[in-house]
Amino acid sequence: MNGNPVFALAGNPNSGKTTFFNLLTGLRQKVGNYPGVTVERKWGTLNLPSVSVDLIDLPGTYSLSPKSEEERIAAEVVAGVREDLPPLHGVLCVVDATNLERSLYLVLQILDAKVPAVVVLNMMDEVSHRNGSLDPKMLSRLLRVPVYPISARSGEGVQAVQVHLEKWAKHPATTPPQAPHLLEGPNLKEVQTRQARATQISRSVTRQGLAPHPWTDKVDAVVLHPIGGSILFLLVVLLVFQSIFTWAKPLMDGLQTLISLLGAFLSSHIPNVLAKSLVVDGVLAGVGSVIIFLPQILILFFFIGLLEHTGYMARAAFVMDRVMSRIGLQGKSFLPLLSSYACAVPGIMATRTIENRRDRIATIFIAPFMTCSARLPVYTLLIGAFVPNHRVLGHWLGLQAAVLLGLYLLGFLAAVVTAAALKNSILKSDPIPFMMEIPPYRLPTVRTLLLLMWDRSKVFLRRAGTVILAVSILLWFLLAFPRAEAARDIQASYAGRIGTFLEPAIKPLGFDWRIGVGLVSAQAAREVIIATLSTIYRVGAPGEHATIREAILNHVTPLTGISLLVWFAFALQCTSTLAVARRETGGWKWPAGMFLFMTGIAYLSCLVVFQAGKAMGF
Amino acid sequence: MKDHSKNSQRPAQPHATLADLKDGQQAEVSRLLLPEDAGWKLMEMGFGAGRPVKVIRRAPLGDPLEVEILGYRLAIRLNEARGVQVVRVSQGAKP
Repeated sequence: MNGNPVFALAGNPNSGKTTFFNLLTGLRQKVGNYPGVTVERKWGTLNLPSVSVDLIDLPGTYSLSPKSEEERIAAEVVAGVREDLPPLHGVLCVVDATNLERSLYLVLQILDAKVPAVVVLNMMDEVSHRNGSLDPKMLSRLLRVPVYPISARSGEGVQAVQVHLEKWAKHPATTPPQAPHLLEGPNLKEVQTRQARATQISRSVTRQGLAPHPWTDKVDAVVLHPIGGSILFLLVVLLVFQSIFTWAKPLMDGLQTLISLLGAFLSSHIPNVLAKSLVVDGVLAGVGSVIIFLPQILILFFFIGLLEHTGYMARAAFVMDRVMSRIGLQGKSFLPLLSSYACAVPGIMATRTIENRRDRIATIFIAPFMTCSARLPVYTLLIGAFVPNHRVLGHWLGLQAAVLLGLYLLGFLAAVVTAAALKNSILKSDPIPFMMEIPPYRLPTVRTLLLLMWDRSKVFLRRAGTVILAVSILLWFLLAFPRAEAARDIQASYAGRIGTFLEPAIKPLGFDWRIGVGLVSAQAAREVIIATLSTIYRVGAPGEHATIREAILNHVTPLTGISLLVWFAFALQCTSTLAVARRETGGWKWPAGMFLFMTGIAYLSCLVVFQAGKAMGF
Repeated sequence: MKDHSKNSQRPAQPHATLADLKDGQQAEVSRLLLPEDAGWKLMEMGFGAGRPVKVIRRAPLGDPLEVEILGYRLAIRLNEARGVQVVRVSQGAKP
């Protein structure tokens, strides 16, 4: 929005539109959301020799008749009725040349609306690999607009599109496209006529039909085989899970070391005690605890990009759909939920592959119930302190491991029940049911994968630099002020006062003001409670407990420990999750609902556990 | 298309649907009996009257179906496939 002429890229899902967009705009991209909706808004700048133009990558759709959010947004942009966008100069219709007949439907719809457009005939390399032959000149004559045959993968033919764009951009926009009738619903006669024309045009320009995709059938015979496919699917899931859990570990440890070194360096170089505390205990500890998740984000999105763009994701969704539909979700919900076992933040970001808005929101809603890795330090601390490691099930399973597994199960069950409840109430049956194209197998370009990883890390780091930074400073302030004399008396700090204020409310759960302070600080990130409790119990101070485990054993009863475990299984104690849910759902409504719901469940469960435990004499 | 071993008393089903096709069988779309938005969506994805459609396979748990239309493939749940009436079912089963 810098006064450059604006062009929109329209096309079907899997038409290579995004690869083309990435090729033209590279790193000059901005990804956001259209206000109030879950639809991704991709904007980029293309610098041509004599002029710069802005490109909007519209959501992939098969039509512009508004039925889903994506179609409505795409139609509004093309029709030129969106207040938040400058008028369009024109539209580039990106067409999958291997799917001409179906793709022409959308093209004809745009041309019928008298919107200035050109056709970019993508995947021409695949057409010739499959021994097909199309006549772009004939297509141009029949559609009466310029047609550019290209391959967005190899870049072939893209130069000609750029030359055209340059000339086009310098012409003043003929008539600003205004086609409000695009926003009307479809009518049968129109749809049928357009389909007949698409068939006719496609026949006239096809010189030689396409041979079947060379290896798709062979690969699918394995990938979608009832047994072989299931085994392969499990292996892929294990690989992704393994990579975000264990392969990321050395990188995360490395980052942690760097952050500690930086902390030590800053500690010795900032003379002022207060400033030092702010920078090291506040900013670095808070932001650092979030930044160490960056390797997980990078690795996860590398796999997601690879699985999505090769076409495997569609197959996995095809295989998993039946299972997920039992709880009211769909096949594409599976991977985001799995990723949430590492961290709900990338998990929620991964829901972008789900086109259906209600399925997507339901998936986002239950993602934080999955046992993320930030819960693990809290779980291991409390279980290690309070659960004796008896053997259960012979020599196979220790009681501690069994409790940990039980906590994983608890979160999973809560997610399943919540999803089913949501889909039977406020997110009830969407008018557009699950239908998903299963594209042939294709290799993604390295550029596409890298840009995806770059974009997701950018989103993640920006949040670490804003929301998390602010919350960290706030928490530090609450814990450090008002400055007590001599011994730091935490109860006198603002945080301590908040804890004391909260105590009547959390007493029935078995929590005192100290745990109250811990819970307040854990709102930044769950594992922060360990650091906070260490400070409060003065761990390591002369005459005090040497480790947090001893301190916990001394200050907390086993029943309170169990109650605290249940609390962490359910409560949405994570500002990053709330921030990313706000971003992905386009408002505070859903994150607020998630927070109240999950924290409410946590409160009730802890109440039951603690009071029942007390009644039974624990 | 129906299993002959049971229900042999029942009169032949007047309308076959996409859900009745065996893997590898082909037919022609005749009518869409679906809620409005779902019907439009399928139509815009190529399910026009007279267009040939083929069931490629079923997912391991029997649902959804992978079907081919206009030379591309898509997954569609049994629930929607039952709303796609077809005629001229080919006899060819699995290739």
